[in-house]
Amino acid sequence: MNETIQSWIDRAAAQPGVMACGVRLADRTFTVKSCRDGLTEPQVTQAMRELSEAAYALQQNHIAADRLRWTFENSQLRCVVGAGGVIGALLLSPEAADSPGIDQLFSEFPLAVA
Amino acid sequence: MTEPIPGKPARARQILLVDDDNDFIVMFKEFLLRHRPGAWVVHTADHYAPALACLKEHSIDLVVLDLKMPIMDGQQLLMLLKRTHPELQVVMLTSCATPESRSLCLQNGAALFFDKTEVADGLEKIYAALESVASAPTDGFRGLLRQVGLPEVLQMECLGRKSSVLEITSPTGSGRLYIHDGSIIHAEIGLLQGEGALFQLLSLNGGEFMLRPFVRPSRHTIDGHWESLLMEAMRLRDEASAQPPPSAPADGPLPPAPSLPSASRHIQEIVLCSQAGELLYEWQTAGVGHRIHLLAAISKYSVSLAQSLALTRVDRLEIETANERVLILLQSDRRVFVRSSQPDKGAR
Repeated sequence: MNETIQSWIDRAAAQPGVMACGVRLADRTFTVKSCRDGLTEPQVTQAMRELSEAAYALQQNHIAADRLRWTFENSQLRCVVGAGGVIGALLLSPEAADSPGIDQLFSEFPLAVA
Repeated sequence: MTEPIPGKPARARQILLVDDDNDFIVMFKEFLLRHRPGAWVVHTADHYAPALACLKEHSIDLVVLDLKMPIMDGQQLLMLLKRTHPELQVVMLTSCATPESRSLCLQNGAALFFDKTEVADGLEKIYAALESVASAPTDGFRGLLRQVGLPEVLQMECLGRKSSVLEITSPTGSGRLYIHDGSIIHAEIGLLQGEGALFQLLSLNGGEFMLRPFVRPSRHTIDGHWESLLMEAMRLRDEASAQPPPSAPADGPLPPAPSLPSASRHIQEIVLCSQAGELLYEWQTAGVGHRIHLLAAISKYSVSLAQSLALTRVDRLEIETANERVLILLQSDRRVFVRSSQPDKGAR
């Protein structure tokens, strides 16, 4: 596994308020981690698959998303999208969704490496 | 289908009956025509499409809607009418009344709700109620903010390049918005005036509004384009809803106006559709069908994501591209797509 990606995942998982994190790589494989009890990694992988399909649907509608933010009742799913279908995603508690640490994580997401 | 009454007076009111039960339509129309000759011009429609066509062609005073109809039911049509024709009086008349449907219809802006079984008991009673509703003042219209959102009313006034004064009353404040030739030119709430007052009025939850004929305000305090102002108001309201409530005393001074952005957004297109994919409103959208399909797809992905991640209800998806922002709202009864330019990107 790409060490840069693993490092990003590890740093994300250590941030307060991060319930799960995942990356979709250019080769269409996934690296995920769950930090919430009851949320399994296969579930997070499935969510990453759906995210990539949604990003593709947007692209088909001429909406080339750089960032996505899905707001649910009690959480937010923030994603950064790169070329070749690369996606980095964090499932966040509402309090953590706009914290500087999370913004910093997204700015450091290794789009080029992934 | 339209049937004018021979020899009707100039002030005959126009009523539209929308019901897929032809027997009932015929019976009720005959009653209206016979009961007080000349009082009504009666139009009929058996589903939403001819009803909407009739509303385009005629100046309808009152719509009587059946609840249970094919394709778009009365509840959906009621909500559509309250968006597209907020001044229109709508009365629900149904054979499948429940306390829930009654409550929902009244909440969504129906003036009255009748069970058809009551019609069998005494049409006169219903006739009197219809006359009363149709006689409501027409020099302005009144509504509840929970029925028709203030931004939507403002949008309709501005898109229609109208001139009016919108008086807003709520438990937390009362104020006025002045619209002239489609531009918001002045706002005031308490001692606050200008854009700060506009944003504060647009942040009110609950209350009533009255749309009145235009009178020139004492000052002209707002110059910004209405689209940018509304977009900014939405952003500020979203931000405010994420903050804890202010701790100022109830009778204390008004909170300070929110700060203004360094640069503004411009709305490029808007699509509003029902959960079933019926177009309710669009503005500057080249491919409405594609947008409705996209909204359906995003709604489906939202449900899947919620299931996969064991989450509750989805509210919205915000999308940033290199120079645009797209907001998709997924509500229980409607879906909204708003695309705007994003000149000040770089903060995130």
